[in-house]
Amino acid sequence: MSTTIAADEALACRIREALARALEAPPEAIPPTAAQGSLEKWDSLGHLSVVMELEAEFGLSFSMEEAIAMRSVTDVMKIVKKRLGGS
Amino acid sequence: MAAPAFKVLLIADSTIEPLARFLGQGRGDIDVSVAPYDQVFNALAGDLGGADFAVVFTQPHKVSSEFGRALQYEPFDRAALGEEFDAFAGLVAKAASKVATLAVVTWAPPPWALPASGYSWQRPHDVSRLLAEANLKLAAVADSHRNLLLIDQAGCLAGVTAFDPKLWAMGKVIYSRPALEAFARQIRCVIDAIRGRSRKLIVLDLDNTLWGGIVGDDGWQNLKLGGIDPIGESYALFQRQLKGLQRRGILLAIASKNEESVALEAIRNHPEMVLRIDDFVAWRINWRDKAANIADLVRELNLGLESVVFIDDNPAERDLVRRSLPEVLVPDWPADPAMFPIALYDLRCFQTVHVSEEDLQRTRMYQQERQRSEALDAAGTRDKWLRSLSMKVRVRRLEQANVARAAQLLNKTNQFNLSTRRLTEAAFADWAEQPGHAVLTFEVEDRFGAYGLVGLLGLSTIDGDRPYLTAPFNGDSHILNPPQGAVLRIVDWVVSCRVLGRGVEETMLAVAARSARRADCSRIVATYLPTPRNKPILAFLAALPAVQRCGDDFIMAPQDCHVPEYVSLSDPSGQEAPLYVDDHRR
Repeated sequence: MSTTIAADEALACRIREALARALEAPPEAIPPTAAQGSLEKWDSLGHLSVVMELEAEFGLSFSMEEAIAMRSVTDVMKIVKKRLGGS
Repeated sequence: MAAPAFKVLLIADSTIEPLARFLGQGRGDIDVSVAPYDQVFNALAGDLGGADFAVVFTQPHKVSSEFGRALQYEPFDRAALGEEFDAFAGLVAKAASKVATLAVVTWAPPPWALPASGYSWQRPHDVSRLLAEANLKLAAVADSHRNLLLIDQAGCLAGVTAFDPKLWAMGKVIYSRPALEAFARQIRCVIDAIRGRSRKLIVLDLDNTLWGGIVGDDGWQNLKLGGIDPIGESYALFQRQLKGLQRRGILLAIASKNEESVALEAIRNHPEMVLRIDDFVAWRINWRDKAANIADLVRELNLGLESVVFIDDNPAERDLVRRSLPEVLVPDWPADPAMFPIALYDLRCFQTVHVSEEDLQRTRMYQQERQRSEALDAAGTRDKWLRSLSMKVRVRRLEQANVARAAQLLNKTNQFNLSTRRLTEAAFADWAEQPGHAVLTFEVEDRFGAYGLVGLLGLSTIDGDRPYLTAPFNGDSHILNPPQGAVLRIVDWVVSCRVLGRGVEETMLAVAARSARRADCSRIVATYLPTPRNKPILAFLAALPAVQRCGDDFIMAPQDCHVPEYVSLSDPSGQEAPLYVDDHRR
């Protein structure tokens, strides 16, 4: 169980770092609770960079549905885990 | 002193903000801003926000509604279509006069309507041909506006999946991330070229870099090069590509661990060598440390380490050079020779804004330089050598015929450069035209050949003229003390490092002194503006025999400045007067 938690934390960390790059903010400015609307730079324009940066970070190509659904770090976690898990 | 950031403005009729991020990444020296979305016409008609460089991205169906109709297989008006593109080209031409450098990305079909079939080149809906014709209109404008560059969209995006439908649907971004990165790379290298930071010399290893195999072990007859062998073909293609760069003005040199005679024999005798001895400006083929060899080569060629690229298949050699000479660009090099041409292309550090006559002659000029140094060795003493050179210096005013080369010299020279002013051709010509200003150009020749235009003086009799607006200035009162007479200020003093140390600098100073006398100036003042790279001119100024130094101001009296006796100075116009600064005070 603890390994899953550690893996989740590592994944959340990668996601937050990708978000920081996309939004040109320091990583500490992206809390685990970050969401569209809660961060000034994460507007619709910033979201395009977020999607591009996440795709590059994980080597994935998201569908438009997925890209639209990524409204928070938690949403991104769910989608990325699903894609990486292959299930 | 940190240089001010280079201001880039992106103008687009699609969402281009993500490109700003890729362009600015890791480049504190570039400040990128984006004009309001889809306001291309307004942005071009406006003041362009004081940018140093503006880049315009447009979609052809947004520039021309008639083209949009053609794209949709609707009936369209061919003449009106041409007029719409003409109007845009005219707008671009006007905009070019408001910014130092303007780049326009050439038109490509929208990615969701890529015409690949034969019918796209044939009437009635010949969209491929219409776009080609529209791009030719841009090229025609670029012909007559030298600060207007075209960025070839198709070339830039070759091999890239350029469109991401989801990004377009979500935010009107018409380029995928790889496409935006490709544009960012290309634009950065154009910026480096504008700022005179392109690389000028490629130092190459030989074994398994220029040919397959080890010449010392295998013998030149057994090297893999050309022939029907796929590996040999890869090396031959790589050499052809290097040869193209060399013809365009990039210098080639060799740093190889080999017996010199064995390696040179291979270069001379192998029937499939594309690059021959004459294509290299210098070489170090020995068993010494490559970093030391490169440093030595660069000294011989009078270049800076920051203009060098080192290519070697051996990671240990690359690592050594990277650690010892951090200014040298040492790219990771693929193990597979088939990838060499792409690896070279991907460096994108050899951009120039224009290809000049000097670029095309560069290798030959450096070879003449080698003969000169050999003559120096033979002549024994430096003095005898200088006399043996038969130096001829020709001075002219800046004019239409030499302004392109003069601007290139002004913008590319780093070492012997008093104030490192960077100006476009138009701005430089305009400065020279102002009352009390003159720009003199110097062409140099010796018995080994012509160097071309290698020196520049920007002179001013206006007391307030400073080489650089941001330059700190003090001591105004005692230098420009009116009772002691007026001052001729040297604003720009640029000499190509290829001619340094053979009397050209002194000759130029003597010409400035003539101008000073003619304008009744009793002193000449040169204000040194330090940069990380212009120590050579400081060393020259500080060593002048009759110079008075006051901080970064160097003050000279005209009567102390003479043409060295081994230099013959001529003025092809036959009349002296036009060369000198107008005395605006009369």
